[in-house]
Amino acid sequence: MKKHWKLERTSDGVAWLHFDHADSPVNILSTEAFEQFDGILAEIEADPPKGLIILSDKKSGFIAGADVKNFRKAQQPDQVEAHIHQVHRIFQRLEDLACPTLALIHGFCLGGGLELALACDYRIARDDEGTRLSFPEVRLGIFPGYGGSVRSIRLLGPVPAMKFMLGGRSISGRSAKRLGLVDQTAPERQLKHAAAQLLNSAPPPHQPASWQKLLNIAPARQLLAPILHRATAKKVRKAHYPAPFALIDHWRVPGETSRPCLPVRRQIWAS
Amino acid sequence: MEEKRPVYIVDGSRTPFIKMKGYPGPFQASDLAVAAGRPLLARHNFSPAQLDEVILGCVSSGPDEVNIARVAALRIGCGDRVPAWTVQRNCASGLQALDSAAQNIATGRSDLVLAGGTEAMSHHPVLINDRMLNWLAQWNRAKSFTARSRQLAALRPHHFQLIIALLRGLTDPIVGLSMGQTAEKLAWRFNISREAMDAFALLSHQHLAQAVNDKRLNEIEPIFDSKGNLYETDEGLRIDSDMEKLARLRAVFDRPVGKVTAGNSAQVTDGAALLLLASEGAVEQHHLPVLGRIIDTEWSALDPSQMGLGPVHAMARLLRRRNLESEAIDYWEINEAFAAQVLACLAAWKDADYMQDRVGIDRPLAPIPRDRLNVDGGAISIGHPVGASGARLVLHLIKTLHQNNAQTGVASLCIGGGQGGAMLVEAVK
Repeated sequence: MKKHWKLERTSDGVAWLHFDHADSPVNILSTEAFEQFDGILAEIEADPPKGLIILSDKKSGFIAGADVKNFRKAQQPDQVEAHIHQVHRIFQRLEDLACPTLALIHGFCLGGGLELALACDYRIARDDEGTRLSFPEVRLGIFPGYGGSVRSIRLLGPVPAMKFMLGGRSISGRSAKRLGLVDQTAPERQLKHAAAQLLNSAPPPHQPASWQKLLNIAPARQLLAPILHRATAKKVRKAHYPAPFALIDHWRVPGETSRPCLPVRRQIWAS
Repeated sequence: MEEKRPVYIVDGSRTPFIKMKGYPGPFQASDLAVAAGRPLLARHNFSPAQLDEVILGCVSSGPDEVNIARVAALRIGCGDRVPAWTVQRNCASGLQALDSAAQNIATGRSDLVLAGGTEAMSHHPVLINDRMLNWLAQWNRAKSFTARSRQLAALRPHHFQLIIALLRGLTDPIVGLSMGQTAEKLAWRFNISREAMDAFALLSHQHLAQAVNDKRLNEIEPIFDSKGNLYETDEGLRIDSDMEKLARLRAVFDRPVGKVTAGNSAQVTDGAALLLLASEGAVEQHHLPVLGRIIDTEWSALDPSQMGLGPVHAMARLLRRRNLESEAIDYWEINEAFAAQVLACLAAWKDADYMQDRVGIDRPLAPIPRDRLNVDGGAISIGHPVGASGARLVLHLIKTLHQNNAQTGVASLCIGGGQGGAMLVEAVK
């Protein structure tokens, strides 16, 4: 019984996955929600639709983020690590789906919610004042740990992605479109239509500017990381706010490109 | 309430509707009004100077013809002593002119009125922006060579940004939506597909083509421009239109995913339509023929972002006030601002919840039969010169009633800004 998610297949072969977290006014990624989501992905793998659209049935927005309880309950760093590993596996599963996938975003799309959206091939944001996308993690002393840091760098290139994550500020759908974080914006009246149309045409997913891709190769990282460090140091003190610096360092380390920012997150969490 | 005097529709004429081609068309709005008015008055046995007044609807008249009704009245040959005034109620300005004329006749203030609407949308102004106006003001103040040089150096590209009044006029300033977007909103609300819109648009063209073939549009007066070109028929008609061609058109609003295209929207056009309205006394005095009567008019208002449903509100309340059922109406004209918008009106009319909650009509009304609606095409094929359309609808409706030996008709328009107007007319045989 999936009480938080509802999978609906329309006659055109597209699957619409509605997220409506029970007993909560907003959608949060609780352990239970993750488990059920995983189960649905298994269903979809077994009987692949023409496309998958993930959307929220909550008025308030898409997904407000991960459930803090996921971390608070786990006293031991090991448990946190196990949880994060589990989520990585689920999001990877979403990313690996054979059919095109799309996140249909309205209202708040924060932290873990945005990381889920980034594991989709496409994102469409509602064009209105209430729609806000953000990685608020850095402000909470952590950084995006469900794969969002790697995926946003891959999508936008290191400089825009780092600026977005390090700042922790929220942006509108239109700004997200300019940044490349979402592929399209549409007013509420066109949202579902736009989603169906984008899945139908399935263009190649967004790519960062080619010079941004260059900045992501290992030697460039060594040069860029100190610059990001200095820019960040102008805003905050490392002693009080270690998270942004940890994020930059983590990105700088070669070999961490494909692996989501796990160890440092655990490290910060533990400290 | 004291019994009002009956208002008779004596006759009417209109110009062919001339499509906007991206540059100012061959006629100013007053030229069009004159072209419709002169032959109309020439057909009757009284002098234009005997008119009590001239009332014209016009959304945006040119700078040389601000009170365009007076300019037209003088040019038509009414002489110095016929007062004239212009009314503006956006897309229903022409209907407002008829209503104003009917009011004055009904209360006894006038007996013989020339009323209608005119619009040259291709002549709607292009404005310079406030920054440029400020620059010009300072330029006028700068007298010395250095002051002028400094002023010239301050000139930037944004000073030359022009304001297209037509586009501004078609955007609601309160809700920030263009008229097309309000139609998109209705399509979403009532689940109207692109195919349904295109099919409606195609039908509009087919109906108009049939009406032209059968010579049912005898209200059109041919018109010559200064170069000697003759305009005889509505230019919006696309006889070669089909579903495939319509389906290929791209969305104009809510790009790229919208459903409202140039093909399923009213066409931007220039045109005028005028009617001659008279009291019983004037009909007798001048031995005038009578086509019909204006029975009543209703104006309603609603959420500006749903302006396309205006006709539903106005028509339903009009019927209720006159104690009429849908079935009592033989022919309907609902201005085709957008196919989506007319289809939304038909859907809302059948929607008991909408009628009860939004319009305040408790009893469900019978659906409007499609074969009695816009039978000879509408603004999608004919065009929608905003100030003139209301008068065109009433004029053609009364002709339709005669051609089909029918009695009662309703003409209605949606009005940008969130209003609806509806007029009830009866044929007199």
